[in-house]
Amino acid sequence: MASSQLSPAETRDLASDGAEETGHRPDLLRRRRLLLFPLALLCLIALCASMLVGSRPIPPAEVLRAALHPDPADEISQLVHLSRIPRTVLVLLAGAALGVAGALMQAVTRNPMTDPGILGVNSGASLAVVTGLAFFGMSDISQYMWWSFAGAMVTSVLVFAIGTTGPARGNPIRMTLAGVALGAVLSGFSSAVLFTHSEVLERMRGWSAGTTASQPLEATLQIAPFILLGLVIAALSTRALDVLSLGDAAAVAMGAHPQRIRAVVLVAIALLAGGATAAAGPIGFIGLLAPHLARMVVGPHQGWIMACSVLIAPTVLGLADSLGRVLTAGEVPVGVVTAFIGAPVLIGMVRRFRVSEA
Amino acid sequence: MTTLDLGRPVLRLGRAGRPLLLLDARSAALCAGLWTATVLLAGWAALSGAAGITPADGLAALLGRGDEYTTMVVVEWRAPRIVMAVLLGACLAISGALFQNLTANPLGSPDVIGFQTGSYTGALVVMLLLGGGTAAVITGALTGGLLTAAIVFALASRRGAVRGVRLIIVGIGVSAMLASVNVWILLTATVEDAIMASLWGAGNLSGMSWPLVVPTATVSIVFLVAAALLARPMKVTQVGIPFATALGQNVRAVQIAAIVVGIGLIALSTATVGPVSFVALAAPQIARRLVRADGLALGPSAAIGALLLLLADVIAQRLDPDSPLPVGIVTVSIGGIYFLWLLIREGRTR
Repeated sequence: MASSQLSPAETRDLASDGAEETGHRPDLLRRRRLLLFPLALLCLIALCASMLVGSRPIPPAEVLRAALHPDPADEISQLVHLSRIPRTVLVLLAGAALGVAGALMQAVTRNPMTDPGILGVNSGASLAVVTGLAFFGMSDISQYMWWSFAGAMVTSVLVFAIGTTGPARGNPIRMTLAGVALGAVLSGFSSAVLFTHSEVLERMRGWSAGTTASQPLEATLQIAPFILLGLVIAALSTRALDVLSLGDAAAVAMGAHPQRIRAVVLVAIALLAGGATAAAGPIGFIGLLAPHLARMVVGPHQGWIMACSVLIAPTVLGLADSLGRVLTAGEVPVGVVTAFIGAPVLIGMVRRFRVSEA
Repeated sequence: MTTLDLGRPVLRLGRAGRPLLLLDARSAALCAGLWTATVLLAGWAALSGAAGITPADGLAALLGRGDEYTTMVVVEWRAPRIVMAVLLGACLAISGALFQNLTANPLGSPDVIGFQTGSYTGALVVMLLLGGGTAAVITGALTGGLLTAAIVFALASRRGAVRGVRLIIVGIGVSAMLASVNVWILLTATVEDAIMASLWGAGNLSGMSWPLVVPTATVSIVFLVAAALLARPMKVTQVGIPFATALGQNVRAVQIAAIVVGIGLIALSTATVGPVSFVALAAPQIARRLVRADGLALGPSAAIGALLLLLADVIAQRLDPDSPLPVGIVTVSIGGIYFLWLLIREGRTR
């Protein structure tokens, strides 16, 4: 086999395009680059929708004026600055974080039916947050976000440890089983804490459903550096993940260190999922949905999947959030809306594609 | 004549040549041990507690010779709760075992694939949106569970075959949707209503009384007998559908009967005490590993389910006597942790 003589670039192409016909590669590359523009446009539209749509209709020109000229005396300006802008920023950050965290998890577990929600990472992060609030008297996001990162990290290490040790390692069903079990246990603990501490229950009722409405802009911005760090780590590890997608044996043969890659990716997942959960609560299905949509348009190439996920996930989250604001007289939390969008897509995917009967 | 070697110790009832009943020795011993533990735990639960009743007084009350207060506490308050825990634990475990066998997957239990969440949605709609009494809530829960099951099976079936991973993923999806509907209904309710409904929604055994236990027990016994009758044909089906068909079994009829019985059991328990999760998922798996059998082990599953739910309720009541937890939270914790431990141990030893 001639693979030892391949240059790194060729190796990467082999890794990424193995499933595709080589004759179409130039087309595909051009298509991938061109695709980023409509995706970015869609993302922009979704963010605009998040700025413009609300239970109180404000004309776009008014929103723009209020956004550019803050005026404490003006009610509309206050509303734009204290509600619309923080929510839009949070949609962008949490969306990108969850989308990329999902893509990382799917890549590193080689299991398509995975996201931080299904594997219990969001539950771990929220249990840590609830514990910090109830037992350690925390109230500020700068305190409990550390708990959220730690919770996400511990949970993902646990799920990976259970799913990747022993002879059945890499069996997706086994890992999903471990994740679902762990997630159920952790949310059980969260409910126990919430039931015995009614003041936390009252405060976190909205947050525990997954919402963009609960944080002021300062809180969101405190999370931002960590999410950005997670995104950078994700971007740097895409090549390694492409190699890993061929399986551990092939990856080792190509000079990669699967365990080292997994450890780095775990840190990124903890930063992304923990950060998003600390700010917006456990929002499900975005991490599942975005990478799948991305894979449908760009094919099995981790770098492109990540890049598209960063654009697709905030789009979906922004549209879901805007929809939730106008759906009823009150407001539907975005976590509820994403479940309603994500679950049918998941079901449709399972019905359309052949799922291996493991 | 030679005796048939079944590869593992077997208890035989009747003549050697034509046995009346063959019982797996390990499974029988396990069941006996588990039920003894359950009875002992039930006795302890009935005789201890915050009311300050001595075991001797409590025993007298159970035998019908106690004073009025003791009789009320032990016979009217504690006993129905214990009976209900044992009964529903067994129901949940059997339901889980039936569905896990049908789907040929440990994740295919009714609390994972959304039937329990659907029951809860039905109950919430009746409780908070329509405003009905206990009977209406129970009807709502049953309707919700059956509707969810119908939707999940319809969405997951492909050319009439419902088996394996597709059903589970469809179930998880439907379950997530219904769970978010539940969250939304709770968010729109007033805080008092929401706390009441979510206490029930976490699975709660408090407030049981004999008038509620008697009908539940009657209905559940019907379903449990049906499940016991289904055990043998289902074991045959598990070997393989062509094999079962060749033996002259109507596989489709057995499967439909198993679905109806399984949903009946889970909806009954959800309607009475709310969605107690993880017993249906964990009990059959724990039983399977303890018996070291690869198939349907209804007897041990039921015994483990009963013990698990009773133990969880005892812990939930005694952990913090001032604010007792809903039992469902404890079942999640005990069942979940034990299940994880099994997964880890399996990963290490084999």
